[in-house]
Amino acid sequence: FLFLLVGQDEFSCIVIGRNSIGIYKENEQILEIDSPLLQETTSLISYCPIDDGRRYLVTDDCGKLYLLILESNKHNGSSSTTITDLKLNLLGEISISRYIIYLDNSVAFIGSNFGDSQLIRLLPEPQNGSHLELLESYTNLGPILDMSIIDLERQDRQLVTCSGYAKDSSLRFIRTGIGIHEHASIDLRNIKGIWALKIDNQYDNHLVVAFFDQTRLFHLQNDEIEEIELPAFDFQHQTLFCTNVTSNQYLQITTYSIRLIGNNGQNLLLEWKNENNEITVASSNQTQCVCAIGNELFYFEIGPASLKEISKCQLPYNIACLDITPLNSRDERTNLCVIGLWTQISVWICRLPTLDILHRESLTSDTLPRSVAMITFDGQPYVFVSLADGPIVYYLLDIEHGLLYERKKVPLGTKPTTLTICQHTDLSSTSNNSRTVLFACSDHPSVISSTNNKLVFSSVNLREIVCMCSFNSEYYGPSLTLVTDMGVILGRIDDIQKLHVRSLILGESVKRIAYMDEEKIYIILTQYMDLYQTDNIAPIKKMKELTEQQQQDDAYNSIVVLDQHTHEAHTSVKLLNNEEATSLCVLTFADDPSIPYIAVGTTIVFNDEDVPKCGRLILFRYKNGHMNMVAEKELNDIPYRMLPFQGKLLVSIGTSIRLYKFSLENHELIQLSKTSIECVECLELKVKDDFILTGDLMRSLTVLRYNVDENKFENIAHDPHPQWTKACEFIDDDTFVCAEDGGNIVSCHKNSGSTKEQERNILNELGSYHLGEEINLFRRGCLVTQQTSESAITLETCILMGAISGYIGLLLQLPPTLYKLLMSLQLALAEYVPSVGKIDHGTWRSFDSDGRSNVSSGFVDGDLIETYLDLPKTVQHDLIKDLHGENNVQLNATVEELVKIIEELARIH
Amino acid sequence: MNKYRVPSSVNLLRAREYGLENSFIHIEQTRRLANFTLCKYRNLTSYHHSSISTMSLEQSEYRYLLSGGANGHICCHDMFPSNLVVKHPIIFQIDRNSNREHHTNNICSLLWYPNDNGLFITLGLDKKLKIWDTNRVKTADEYEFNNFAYSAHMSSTTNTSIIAIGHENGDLRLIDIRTGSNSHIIHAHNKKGICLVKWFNNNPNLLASAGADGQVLFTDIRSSRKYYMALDRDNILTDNQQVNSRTTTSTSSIAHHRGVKSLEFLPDNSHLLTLGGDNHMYLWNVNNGQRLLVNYGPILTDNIRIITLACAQMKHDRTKSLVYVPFGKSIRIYDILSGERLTTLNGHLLPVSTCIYNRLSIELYTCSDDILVWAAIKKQQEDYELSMKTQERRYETTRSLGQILNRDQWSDDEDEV
Repeated sequence: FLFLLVGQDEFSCIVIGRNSIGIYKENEQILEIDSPLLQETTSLISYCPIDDGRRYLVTDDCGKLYLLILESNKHNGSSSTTITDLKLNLLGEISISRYIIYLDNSVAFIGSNFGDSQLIRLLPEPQNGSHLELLESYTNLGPILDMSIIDLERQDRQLVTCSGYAKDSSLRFIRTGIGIHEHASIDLRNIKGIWALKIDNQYDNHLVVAFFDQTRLFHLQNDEIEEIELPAFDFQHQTLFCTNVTSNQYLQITTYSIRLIGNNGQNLLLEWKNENNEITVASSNQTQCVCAIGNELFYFEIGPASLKEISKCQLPYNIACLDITPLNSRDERTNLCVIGLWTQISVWICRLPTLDILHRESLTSDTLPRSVAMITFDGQPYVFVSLADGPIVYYLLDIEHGLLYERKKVPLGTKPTTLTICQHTDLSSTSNNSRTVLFACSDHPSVISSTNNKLVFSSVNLREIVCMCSFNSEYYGPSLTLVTDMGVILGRIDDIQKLHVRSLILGESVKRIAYMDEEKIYIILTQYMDLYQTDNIAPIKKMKELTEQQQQDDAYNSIVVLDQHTHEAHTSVKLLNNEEATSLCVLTFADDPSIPYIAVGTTIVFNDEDVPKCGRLILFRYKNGHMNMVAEKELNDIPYRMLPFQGKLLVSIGTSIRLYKFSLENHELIQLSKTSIECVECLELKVKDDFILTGDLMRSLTVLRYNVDENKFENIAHDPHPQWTKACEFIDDDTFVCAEDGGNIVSCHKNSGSTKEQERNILNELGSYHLGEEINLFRRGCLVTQQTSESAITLETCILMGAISGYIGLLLQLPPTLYKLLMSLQLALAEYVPSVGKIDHGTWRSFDSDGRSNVSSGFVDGDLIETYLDLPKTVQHDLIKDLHGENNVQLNATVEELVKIIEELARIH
Repeated sequence: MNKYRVPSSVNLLRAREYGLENSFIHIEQTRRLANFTLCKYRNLTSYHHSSISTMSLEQSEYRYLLSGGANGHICCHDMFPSNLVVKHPIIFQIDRNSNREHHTNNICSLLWYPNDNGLFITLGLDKKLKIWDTNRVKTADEYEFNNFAYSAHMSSTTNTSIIAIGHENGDLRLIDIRTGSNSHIIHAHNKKGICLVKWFNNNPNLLASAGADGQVLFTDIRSSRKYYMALDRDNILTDNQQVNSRTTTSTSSIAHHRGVKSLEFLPDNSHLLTLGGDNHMYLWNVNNGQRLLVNYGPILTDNIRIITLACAQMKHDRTKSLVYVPFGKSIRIYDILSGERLTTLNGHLLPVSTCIYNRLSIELYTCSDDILVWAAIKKQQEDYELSMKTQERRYETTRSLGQILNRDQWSDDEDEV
């Protein structure tokens, strides 16, 4: 490790070695630094100069940041300076860095491979013993060593990855939905609607809650909630709408009447009611109000102490829902009103104040509109209609003529959905700008927002929301009130993103993870290395009795059990000296199906040994926070992977695959069978039904089947090509995918139908693709759940892949027709879309491994396909005008169909 | 030998998982390179009845191995899969019985077309050069010469179509297979003839040729000069700064005292190994023609006309380079840059003529009258023998271990009976 920096003025350079820093000058002695900070084990990684070239930032592999100062004295009378001394100061601790760049104003960026990248500020005076202030940190998942997909309640899934290295190691919990941070909750049931009011305050401080036949008003002061009754409000009827309106007045629309309230809720200024019939639906903004009684529509304008009926009209059918929210949130009025109708299921647009019908849009569905909303995203006005059976239909809106066009339908929940426009402020954004988002309340609550002119539907991790309103509280900040069937939650939601990552810093390298559903625990394999430890982060395990021993060992492996919810370590088991845990699985044995066991494979590593010669399998039972070792078996090779297989334990050990059963009587693992065909090193193991897929260090894939009757492994098929396989996975019974060392993925096909035995034994390469990512593992499954049956794609074959860079990819098997269509679209797009660095898409994606290269085939690049959605309409048309499949077969597809498919594909990740 | 020690495989695998090791493949290759043992249970379907004079491994898949016999027979084996126990089938054969267009005399050179495996070129002592279509096993083109040709070679850079042929009378013939012209002749060597021609690895215009008189010449085919450099074993020209070797064309400089038997460029494109009939192997710097003073000791070449060496050089560390040299009935492994002899592979019963290193599956193919495969599978082979032994014991046969091993080793013959 040598870095060379040339000094200015004179012929000299600074040489930064692994653990030494020196200045080399022409014809002069080497000036080397002598600092207690540089020890034998230190290894410096990166450096960068600070402005004046007299100071340098230097980092080491333990995440320490040093400041190197060149001291110089000026020659009298000459401009040149000589460096007389070097000094090294410890500034503080950062992520283990790969690169460091000094930006400006004592702010530096630290690029890390093993932890989160950071933006830090250097402080002139130490604060809390450190010269650093962490300004921002950027989530980095890499390197992903292992991951596990865990089903949570309510069909939700969570991905847990083992990320990072040494002190920056962490477990990352990744979810797709938006999480809720609860501030307070009120236990109220059977709520029909909720609205926030600002009464004598610039912040929201009152909540109007509507029940079936009454209304209640709550006053919130700081964190206290009390029910109050203001004289001007009507508490005897169900409120349909309630809002602050112009000139400090309040508008409450109940089923009985419309009330304009002034003087902070003390005086009823005006009341309008229809004697004969109840008001069914209503909506209002600052200066306008509409309400419907059956099929009659009334329009009012609100002024200071005035509520004037401007016009009314009669529609052919009863009105189901309406909305007059201004399209621009700063406006006080709008000239459009959108109405959903019963019976003839349709959406109508009418002009205010005249109530002329501008547009009728039939909804072509069997279910009613439940709620409509007008909203502008990125300057484009939309009309959203929610249907009674869950889905949302949305249109683009032409403001001039009130026309609806470009219908799209998105399945969300299965119950009636209520749409509410609310304000959302991102937690992370520094500016306090809130943006308008649409909240869809149903059994699958979602937030609809827009990024880069694309609508994003992010699901919220709550069971069911009946209704909600935004609540800008003085005490809690911008919040939301969410009404569930259990009560009212006052809280705020996470930033609107697709993926949400929470991390649990472990303080020691984590290598493998397994999840035990019965006990709701995570089992992780960790490696503690004294060298990389710092005082700030304590290792996760809490073994008190081992603290004395810890001082002797500078590295040891342990098995730690974590609670799923609290992430607290329940217990941990330390392995022997030099013993390294390599594999882990949770299984139940066929002989003892009641209790789950934890199996750990280890190997004993001596650094002077070329290949480890011994290892062991250890079997644990976990109960009430205690790990009990049940059985142990000596091995003569490395157990690379373990899997449960038909109530037995399948282990790939060095060159072979072995199957063990557990004998309850003797508490012993008994080897049942062993493969006869030897491989080089069997690194990866996957199981599907009877079939076993193995990936070899140097060879490609092999498929085996376990024959129970004869207790033998049968060799089904293999790929004869040599290949440095890293990971593999089943796509279906006959198709397999594997990742190889050069950053490529390859899919293989087993020719089961062939009549020739020779052909059946060979795995044919179906496709190859350069991913450019070093894949460490594949996991079956996917973070989102299948929502509707009508979608063209099935998620059964979804495979997630994790890479060293922190990349998580999704592989999906496409049906043949869709594949042909997308493949030809990819070709067209590759020509049209300018590529990064003008590297041709085909060249970049072509398979290229050490000594072998091949054109890419069999894989469609999802990233490229999704750029189609961002293209202008005309280009979208032109591109698909002449799509040709294989053999020049014309493929017919309309832009709308294609966009629908691609959007659907985009939604699954 | 210590040079080829690598970190423990567990540590290495862990480093790869964390992304700390970029040259994982090369390090694993290094681990295996110097530890080759004979693959006892891998047999190639036997074909050649006479001794095998040359072999060639195809360079796009590293899969198909052509071998040519002294009687003019050619055969192609599929070398995949590289399992422990496997019998490699014959893909096709060219001989008197199967193909009318066969060679009638000893095969001198076998060449795969560098860009794909749809074409290969054979040169025989019947004065014929044939270009074959692999898929149909039919000649696509044929050239007949008046003189014997001992060696042919085709550049491995892309978009080349020129075959160089060395004749017994010292003519260097260039054939462009795209146009079919075969008239371009360079009179580089004297009448004693050319033993070997080899194109440079990285330049489609430069050519090295070795004569029966021990001269090794570098020729630029674009220039009108016969050659631009002649290798000198005494380094007279290159040591003397005043004399520029590129301008002087002294004919007196020789690389070997006797005919050159092997000419092999290292994968780094800057070194050349030559093996002469004077039992010396020399390492040369290609760029300045200097002989690097590496002592490999005497290497007996016996009476084999042309020897093919196999060089393996690690990409991550160029100093880790090995050469597999046929040495009578055995194969010696030398470290190229230090000259240290690492191990000797014994297994052939007749003198070995050709070594070929397959860098994809990390195997060595050698031939004398049969073709043997060498790989780093010592441990697996022992495991396998052990499992066979226990299996035998289970069947309660009373054979001794020696008999079992013997039987396994020659199981090939039994199968044929």
